[in-house]
Amino acid sequence: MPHTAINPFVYNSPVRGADFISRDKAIRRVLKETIAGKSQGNIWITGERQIGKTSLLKKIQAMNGEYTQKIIPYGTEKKLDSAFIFANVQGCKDEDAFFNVLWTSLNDHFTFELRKSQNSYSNFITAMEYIYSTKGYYVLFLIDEFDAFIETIAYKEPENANRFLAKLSSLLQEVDEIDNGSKAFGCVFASNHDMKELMTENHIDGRGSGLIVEALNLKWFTRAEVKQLADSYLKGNRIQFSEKEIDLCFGATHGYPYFTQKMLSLMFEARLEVKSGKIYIATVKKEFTEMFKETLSDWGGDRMPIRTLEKLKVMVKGMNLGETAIKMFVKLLEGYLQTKLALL
Amino acid sequence: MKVPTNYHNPFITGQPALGSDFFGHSNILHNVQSFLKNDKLAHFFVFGKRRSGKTSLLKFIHNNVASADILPIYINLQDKADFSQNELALFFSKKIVSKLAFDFSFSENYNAIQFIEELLPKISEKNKIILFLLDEFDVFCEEKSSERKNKLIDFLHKASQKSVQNKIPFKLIIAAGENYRSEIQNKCAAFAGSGEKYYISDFNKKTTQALLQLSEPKITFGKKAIKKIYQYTGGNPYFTQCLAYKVYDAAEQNKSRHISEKMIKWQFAPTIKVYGSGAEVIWHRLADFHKIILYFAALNKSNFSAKLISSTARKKNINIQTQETSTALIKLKESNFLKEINCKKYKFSIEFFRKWIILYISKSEIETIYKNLTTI
Repeated sequence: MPHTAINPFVYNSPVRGADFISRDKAIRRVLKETIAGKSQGNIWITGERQIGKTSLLKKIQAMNGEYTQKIIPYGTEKKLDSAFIFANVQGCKDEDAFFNVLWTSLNDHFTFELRKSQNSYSNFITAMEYIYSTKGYYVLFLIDEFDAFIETIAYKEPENANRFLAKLSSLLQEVDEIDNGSKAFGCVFASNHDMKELMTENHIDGRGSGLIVEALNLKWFTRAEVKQLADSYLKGNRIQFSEKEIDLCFGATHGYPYFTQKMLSLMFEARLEVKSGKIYIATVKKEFTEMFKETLSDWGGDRMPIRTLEKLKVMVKGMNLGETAIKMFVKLLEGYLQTKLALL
Repeated sequence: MKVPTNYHNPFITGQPALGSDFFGHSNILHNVQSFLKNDKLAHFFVFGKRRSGKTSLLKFIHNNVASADILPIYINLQDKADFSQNELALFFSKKIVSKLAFDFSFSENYNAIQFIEELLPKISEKNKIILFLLDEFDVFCEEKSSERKNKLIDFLHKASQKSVQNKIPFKLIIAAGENYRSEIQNKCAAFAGSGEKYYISDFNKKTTQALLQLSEPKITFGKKAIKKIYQYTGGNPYFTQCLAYKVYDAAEQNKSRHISEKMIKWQFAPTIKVYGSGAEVIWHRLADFHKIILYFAALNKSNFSAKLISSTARKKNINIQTQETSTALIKLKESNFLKEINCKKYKFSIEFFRKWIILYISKSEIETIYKNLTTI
C-alpha cells in the first residue's frame, strides 16, 4: 500500500471524475425525464448550498459524446444527437446577459460562425435554429445558480422575473422559428431554492401557465454513502477510517455533502498529527464547530432559503458536538429565520 | 452507471400531449368545423382550469384542421402581455405575411389600425381561412392589469368584428383559464359574450381508463388501481398523466407487469413532490382569501362546511366569518376546485391538489397572507 498522506477530500470546488459518487440515480432521472423518453420535460434540481448540484451538472456535461442515443423530439419524426451544455448564470444581471451566457456556452461547444447582433435574444434563437435544424442536435441546458439570477432580476421589481419566466416558459414549449414551432431544447435548472420558495420569497406571482418543471431534490448522503465516499477517496492511502470514525463524521454532518467532505478532511489532517484517540476526537469536533460557524455566516445567513435554514436547524439539534455548540447554532439559525420570515 | 436509452414510458408529463396521446376532447373538432363554416362568428373561447389540457387541445385542433383551405397558426401569448397594441398587431401581421407568403410592406409606424383596415382585408384574396389559436389569453386579464392590456383585448375584439363585418376568413380560437372566466367577462363582456364557447372538463372514468391503457400490453393497471387514480386526480388530465407516469416507472423498475391499488397509494406522495409545479401554478393564481379557505379546507380529509373551516381557522388565530367563508366556498365550487357533496358540505375536486396544499403550504405562509389582507 503506498504511504501517501495527501488529503484527498474535496470541498471547495465541484467534484469531478472518479471523485464523484452516489448520484447515479439522480443522473438517470435527469436523462429519463429530459431526453431518453418521449416526455422530454425540464427538471428543477434543488439542494442546499454545496450539496453537489454543480458537480452533478458537470458530470452530465462530461457525458457529451458518451451518450450516443438518438433523440426523437416529441411529436416529430426527427432523429437528433444530444448536446449537454453547462451555463452558470449567477453573474447575469438581466435577461440580455442570461441569453448571452447561453449563447457563449453554445459557441464554446459548437464553435459556430454566426453573425452576432446587439440583441442577445435573437442571437440565441439564431444559434438554436442552426444547432437544431442544421447541425441536428437537441440541446439540454444545464443551468447552474438559476435562483441567484432570478433573485437578481426580481430584486428591484418582481415583474421583471415574471416577464422573464413567461418568456422562458414559452420558449421551452416551442420556438416559433424552429421547425414551425417545435420544442427545441430542454433545461435542467440547479437552484438552492425549490421553485415555490423562490417565487414566494421574491414575491413573484408568475404568469399564465408558468414554468412547468419536474422537481428533483438532491439528498444528503446516507451513512453507507459516507462510508463509501471515505473508502473510495482513501483507496491506497495509509490512513483509513474505522466504523467509529464514520459514525463521528455522520453524527456531526448528517451526510450534508459539503460538511461531510470537510469533516473527513479535518479527520484526515488530525490523524496525521494527533496520536491520542480522545485528543483526536476533541480536536476534530473543535475544528468542525469553528468551521461550521464561519461557514454559516459566510453563506449569507438570512439570505439562505427558509427550507435550508430549517433543515440546518434540525441538523444541528442532532449533532454530536456538545450542548454549548448546539445551543449557539440553534440561536444563530433561529435569528436568520426570524429575519427571513419578517421580510415576507 | 447504466445510462437510460429509449425509455418507453407511454405517459406525457413534460409537454402538451400530442397525436394519439391526446385524450378526451376529440369531439371539439365538430364544434370547430361548424365555427369555421359560420361567417357570422370570428372568435371561439376555450375555457379550462389550469393544467386541464388547453394547450394540448389547441395543438390537437392545429394538427387536425390544417388543409388546403385552412391555415392554423398557434400563438402562445404568455410572453406577450407586455406588448403594446401596435407590437401585437405587428407580430400577428408578420405571422400572416410569412405563412401566406404575400407582399405587404410594413411602414415604420405600422399600427393596429393598419392591421385591421389594410392587412386583414388582404387575407380574403388568398381563399384560405387563417385560424389563430391563441393560448394563455388570461395573461391579458391577470390581476396586475392595465389600460395597455385592455387595449390588447380591444384590438382582438375589433379584429374579430372586422372579420365578421367584411366576411374576412380570419378567425380566432382563444384559450383561457376557467378561473379567469369572471375577470374575462367583466373586462371584455362584449367580446367574450359574443363568440362560440367550449368548456374543457376533466376526464371522466372512461377516458381515464382509456388513457391508462396506453401502458398495455407491457404493463396493465388493475381495476382498483384505475379507480384509485381517478379518485386522486379527479380526472384532471395533467395530474392523471403524472401519477400514471410515476407508477409506470416504479412498476418497470420493480419488473412488475401489473399495477395494483397499493402501488398507486405508495406513489401518490412521491408524485406530488416531483410534479408539484403544476399545483403551484394553480395556487399562485388563487385570490388570497381563497388561499386561506382552501388551506383550512385541506386540513379536513373528508367533507367540510363553512362553519367547520371558520372554526378551524379561528383556532389558529385567523378570524374569518362563516358568511364570508360560505360565499368563498360557492365561488370555489363554481371554479371546480371543490364539489358539493350534499347541502353546503364540500370536498376537494382533486385530491392531488388537497394533498399538495398539506405538503407545501405552511401555516406561516397563510398567516402572512392573512396579515397582508387584514392590513389592507
